[in-house]
Amino acid sequence: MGSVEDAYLTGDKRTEKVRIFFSSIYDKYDITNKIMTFGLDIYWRTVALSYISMGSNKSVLDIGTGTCDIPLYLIKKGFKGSITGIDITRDMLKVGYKKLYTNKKKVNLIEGNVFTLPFKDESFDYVISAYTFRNISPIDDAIAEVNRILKKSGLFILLEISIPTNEVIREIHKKVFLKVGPYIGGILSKNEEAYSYLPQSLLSFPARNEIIKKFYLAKFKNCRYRDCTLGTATVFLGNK
Amino acid sequence: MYRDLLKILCCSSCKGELKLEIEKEENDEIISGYLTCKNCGLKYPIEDGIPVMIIPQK
Repeated sequence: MGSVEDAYLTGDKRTEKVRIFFSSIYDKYDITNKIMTFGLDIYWRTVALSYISMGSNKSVLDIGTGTCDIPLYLIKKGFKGSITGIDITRDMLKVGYKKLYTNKKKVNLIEGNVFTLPFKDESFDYVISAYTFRNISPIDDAIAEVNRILKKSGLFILLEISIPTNEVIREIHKKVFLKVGPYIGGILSKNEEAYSYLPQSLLSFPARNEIIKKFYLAKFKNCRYRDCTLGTATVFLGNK
Repeated sequence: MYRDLLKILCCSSCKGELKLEIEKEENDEIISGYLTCKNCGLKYPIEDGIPVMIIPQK
């Protein structure tokens, strides 16, 4: 479980492996993630969420909502619309539900699969997904599902960790992210094997231009991306 | 889950309309119950406030 080979599985097998993997680390996910990215995951999420109009009365779906950091951030920033979160891992959702419940926040949480999203066509103004799509294969089908449930002119915001384009930075990043990160994550979660999956899932994720092509193939318009922190994370954007 | 979710929620499999059966409700939140597809009959449980919309394995 959580091995290097798992990052190359597709379909239901991949989904099940990912569900088991996140179930094994759900209670330490928040803290381990922050340490592995040196706290930058929060900044990158803020960049991705800057594309959502905070004062608006719109609808947002967070795919791979996990422990609900995105819904809680939106509420904290004064987002007035409706928020829905979906995730395949029930244990992660339970942590998120508790966080929302403690804060008395109204968010609809759903246990579900990105390939068969349980929403009617044209249901959301925004669909956001952070650090989730590299765990999904084939992502083409997932991107097409997102397009189906977005309203006309709705925006898809996809945030993922990335491989830097600059050669020198890429080498440093490779050493830190592929070696140090899993080592620290392994110690903290007492599950080093599981944490070897995370960097491998990044290596198996398509390049920036490939993702943009997949957006266009799924009939998104005005597709573009924005690199953050020397290209160690990327925000992909596409309008329906 | 809250009742407003029903406006956009549908069957994961056939995208049909869902019928809500409530077992327990607290402060407008549905804590447990079932969502049944009016089209294909698939039944999804609501457990601890979270609908389980995974298509059951055959």
